[in-house]
Amino acid sequence: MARRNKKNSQDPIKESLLRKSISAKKDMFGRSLSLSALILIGVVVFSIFFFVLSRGLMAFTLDGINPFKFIFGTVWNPTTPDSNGNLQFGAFPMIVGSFLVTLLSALVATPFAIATALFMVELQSNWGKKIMHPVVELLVGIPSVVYGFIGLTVVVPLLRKTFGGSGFGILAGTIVLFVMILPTITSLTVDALRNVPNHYRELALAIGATRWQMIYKVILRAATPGILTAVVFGMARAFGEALAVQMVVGNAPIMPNGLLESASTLTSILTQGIGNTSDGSVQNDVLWTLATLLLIMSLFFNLIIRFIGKRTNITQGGH
Amino acid sequence: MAEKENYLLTTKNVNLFYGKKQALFDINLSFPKNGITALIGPSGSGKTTYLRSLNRMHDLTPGVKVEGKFLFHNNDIYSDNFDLVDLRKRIGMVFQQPTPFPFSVYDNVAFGLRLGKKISKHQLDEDVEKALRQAGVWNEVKDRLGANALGLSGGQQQRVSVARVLATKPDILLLDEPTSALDPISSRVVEDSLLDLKKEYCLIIVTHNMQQAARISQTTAFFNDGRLIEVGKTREIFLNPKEEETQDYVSGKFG
Repeated sequence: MARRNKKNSQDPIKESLLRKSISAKKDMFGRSLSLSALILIGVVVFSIFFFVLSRGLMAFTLDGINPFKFIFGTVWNPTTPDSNGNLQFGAFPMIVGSFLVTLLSALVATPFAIATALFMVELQSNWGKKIMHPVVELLVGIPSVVYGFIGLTVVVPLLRKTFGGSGFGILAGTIVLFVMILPTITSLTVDALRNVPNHYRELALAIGATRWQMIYKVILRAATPGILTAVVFGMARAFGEALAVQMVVGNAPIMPNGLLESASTLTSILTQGIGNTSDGSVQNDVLWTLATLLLIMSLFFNLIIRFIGKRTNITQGGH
Repeated sequence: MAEKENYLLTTKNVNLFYGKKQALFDINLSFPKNGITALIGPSGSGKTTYLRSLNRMHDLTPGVKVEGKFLFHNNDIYSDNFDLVDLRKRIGMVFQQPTPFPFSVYDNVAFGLRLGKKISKHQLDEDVEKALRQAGVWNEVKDRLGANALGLSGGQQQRVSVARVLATKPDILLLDEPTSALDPISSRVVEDSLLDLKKEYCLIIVTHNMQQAARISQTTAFFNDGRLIEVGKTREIFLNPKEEETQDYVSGKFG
């Protein structure tokens, strides 16, 4: 070692090249710092998955519930045995309920969101930027319990008065979720529209397109992947929303017969039951299974978003 | 100069302001029915600004004020009753960046055609092919009309852009440095296409490339600092300019 140092000292440039500089060391430090953060997050995510999955599968492995019957069974009766003395765990009503409120609210919210975003970006960009955008982003941040509370005190009584019945149900859930995901979809659609390069607009107008033709033939078409991502994001939010839905949907674990009858979603049954069951009981295990279903679904939504995002990169990769 | 009747587009006393800053000063320039007019000059000389005023692209930018007369078929294109959409169909524009829409080649060229009244699929096919042939790119793209235009090479993209404008059968084609983003070989191909087009169209091209101006244009206008310094036959401008400024620019002393 000593001999080598002696040798190097004869050539200062060689020495400095072979020695790690301070900035290179700092570089290494930063690298290892972010790497360890990444590893930590990776471990956390993996543990959550492992934990939920292992608990979720207990209902099948330990309690011997038939997975097929669990997913497609239509009777949810986890506490009181039926005439044969069996407890019934059919999650299908909740699955249907979750998908119904998600799809319906996205269906209603999307046209509104696109129209609002178009107004903000294409028609009134100054005013839209200064006022509308902050307002929409504010709406995204309102806690869901507030939405649920408003739903409970305004929407449900209104539905009761208008259509009769209790007012609780899929329709009330849809309305609350519609208001909740509208800002999410709008905000992301605005981003998608802003991402359409300005020269597409110039180009369309320079060829003789009217403003409306420019919007629907070029801008909406070029922004379609982004808008789809926005919708899926909104749906993911609607699907995973627990509190607000639980407050207005009625929480009757039966197959929804109409939009106005009390129904339930995966999240609403989960939040409702989680405090009323003891750890390790069948009733608790099946809630974990519901959580697993939710996790898988949100994973699925994420995959869709990534898939759409990938396609966007290809179509805009020309520049 | 030639007699007045041959001019398709005449501009008189054009002044243009970006807010308070004046960008063009008193430009008088006319363009014949066919042939290529090159607008040359250093960066910031106002040539692109002038070009964009010819089909009212400045309308899109807030705070721009345009003054002067722009006579096209004896109508002022800035008059209130002039239909902007129709104007831009007659005076088409090709931009500096090759900018196809992220659609198929066919949809790109058919874009302008589909804006107007409905035309038959057969007619559409014919017009698309004709425009692509005029732009000199048909042979290269005829087997991939359904492919995304962004997958073409830069030179092909730019010629598809030219075809897209040609498809609407304009009278005038404005070209804003159409080859500056292309390699020399692609530039050459685009230039050849333009040379074919000059027989039928009035082409107005902004270029930084003086060799290009010399190669393809009949008339050259030299801009500097928002003023039109000199306009004349391209040969004259390059070999025997009247103004010293022009001489300095074409001989490469500045710019």
